[in-house]
Amino acid sequence: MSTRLRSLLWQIALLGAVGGLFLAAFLNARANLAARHIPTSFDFLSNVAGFGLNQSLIPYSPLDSYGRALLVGLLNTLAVSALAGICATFIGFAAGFARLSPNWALAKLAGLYVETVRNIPLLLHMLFWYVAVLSALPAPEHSHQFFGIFLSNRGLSLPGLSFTHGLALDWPVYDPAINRFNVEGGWRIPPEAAALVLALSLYTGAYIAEIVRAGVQAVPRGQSEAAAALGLSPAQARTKIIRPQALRIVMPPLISQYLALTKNSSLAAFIGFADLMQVSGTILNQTGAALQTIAIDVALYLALSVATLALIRIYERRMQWGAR
Amino acid sequence: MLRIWLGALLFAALACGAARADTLDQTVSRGFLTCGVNIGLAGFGLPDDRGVWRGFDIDYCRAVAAAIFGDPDKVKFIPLSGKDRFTALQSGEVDLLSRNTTWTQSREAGQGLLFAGINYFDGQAFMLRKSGGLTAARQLNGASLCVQQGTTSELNLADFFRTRGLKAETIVYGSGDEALKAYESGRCDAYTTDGSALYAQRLKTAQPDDHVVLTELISKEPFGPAVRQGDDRWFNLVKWTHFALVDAEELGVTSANVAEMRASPNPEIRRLLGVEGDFGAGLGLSPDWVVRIVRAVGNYGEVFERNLGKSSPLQIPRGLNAQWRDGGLQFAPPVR
Repeated sequence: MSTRLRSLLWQIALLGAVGGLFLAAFLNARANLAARHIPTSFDFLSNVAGFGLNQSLIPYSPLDSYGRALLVGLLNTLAVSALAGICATFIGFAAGFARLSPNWALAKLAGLYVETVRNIPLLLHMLFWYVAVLSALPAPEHSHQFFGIFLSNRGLSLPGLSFTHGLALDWPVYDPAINRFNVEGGWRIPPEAAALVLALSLYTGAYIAEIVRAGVQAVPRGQSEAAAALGLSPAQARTKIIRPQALRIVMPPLISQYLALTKNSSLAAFIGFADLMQVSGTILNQTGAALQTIAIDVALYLALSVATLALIRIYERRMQWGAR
Repeated sequence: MLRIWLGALLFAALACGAARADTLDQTVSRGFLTCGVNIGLAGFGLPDDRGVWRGFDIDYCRAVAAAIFGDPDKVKFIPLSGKDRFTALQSGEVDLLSRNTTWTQSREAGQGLLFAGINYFDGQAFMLRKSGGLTAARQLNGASLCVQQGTTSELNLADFFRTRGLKAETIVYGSGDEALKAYESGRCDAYTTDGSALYAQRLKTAQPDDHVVLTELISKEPFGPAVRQGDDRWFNLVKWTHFALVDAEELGVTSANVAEMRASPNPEIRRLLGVEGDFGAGLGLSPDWVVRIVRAVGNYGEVFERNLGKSSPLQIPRGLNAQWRDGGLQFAPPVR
């Protein structure tokens, strides 16, 4: 028997053993679940959800299915992550460059921000901003009003197009107004979403600031000296020589921050935001389908991360940052 | 060769473990009961300032431990969130779930649980600010409502408003404390969950007198201890621990007089306390099982008053939880 054939047989045997192990684990889990009367089917997704959600980007009522409720949660997670991602990038780059600024006060201020925010758990940030947002704003009957916009502890209500009339152009069709308890009508940004975006952007921004600072400092000193020797001004050297090189270094750790941000948004349930985890938690509790809902969560968060990664790869290829 | 052996070993390890032993035998050989309880709900299950668990549900765990071991302290309390509780019971992490859990059809028919009776009749209620002057839940049309996740509250709430053609915004929080904080800060006009929990949460507000719990209930929430399906003896043991507590109250047997009551001429009391006949054997217990239970935690009335009623800060009236003779719903089959 040739060495090659033997090695091939060994590999097949190993593959078979690993596959068999997984199969055995799967079958055993299934038998155990059946013995414990734990349901494993996904049929519940088409059943009527029966519970309300206060934040939804698509039309949703308690008469819709569990599947649609999950979609609402997923879209909420996506919206908040995208918004917070953009804000965190701006905050992070601003603070990162500020830390390197020759202006002493600016650099120290940025340093203070990074060090304080980075060293406090994200959950505390969320709770802090939620309480801060709520206590800073008045009750709905005393809403701040300007140009038909209402700001209260029930959220920020803007005049908006009404979906019930189709996308008619007689703007504004749907004005917010104060009723007995609430500001009704229009487009509303609830305080939960605001606090979540605020906390996520500030928290992730602090990490991005450090990544940016490290990236800029990682560009060899010789580069700026060479720029100066060529007669470029310090500002030109920064934008034309240092920054492009720093961005290339910054990209990989930046990506992992975006991935972390999406996953961190799952803490939203603590402050009452209807994200994927919160909605699936309610579904889990109503249906008892623990394994299925957790499996769906795992698959969706994984898909989100892979999609984020793919988007950034496309961006990288366009900017031709892949190759040095 | 080593790799194959290792694989086979792992395979064998995974393939086994499907068999399950008798819960009572397991508990006895382990030396203590594992009991799934609330993470923290005043009156039902909450560690006191010395870290000792206290509450109505806690006393049910202690009663079962007393019936088995004669020692109510042989319990390991495992705090469980609303989301985790059934999985913990199904997977065998706890022997018994005593955690203000509502008995519903789907939890028995679909999730492999059995409820061993109703030890507390509750319903979903609303807490709101007195200053609003509201007296009924239907007046909350258009309001914002704070709800705690991990209960059937969200479903009941949606049902209530839907059937009446009313609207309300529901904001769902991961824990009761977060929901309460949001309600207190003015985010919501009302906070809704099981009535018993509202009484407890009201005490946590800065000014309990500023808030009122509406007596109107929008759902039926019968609480009871739950066990896994497939172990009838264990199910019976937990069920009859509850009935024994209720029967003891009905027959006037208390933690103070249980010793003298053994000399009572009343045959019902004599059977309950194991003086006549042996009613513990079928449960896997010795004849004086009820004596051990009552000596450890008292009868049902004592458990109720100590944790929820007159002797507690909650001051919840007996209401539906009074004995059937007093107009309540607590009615236990006889021990005979």
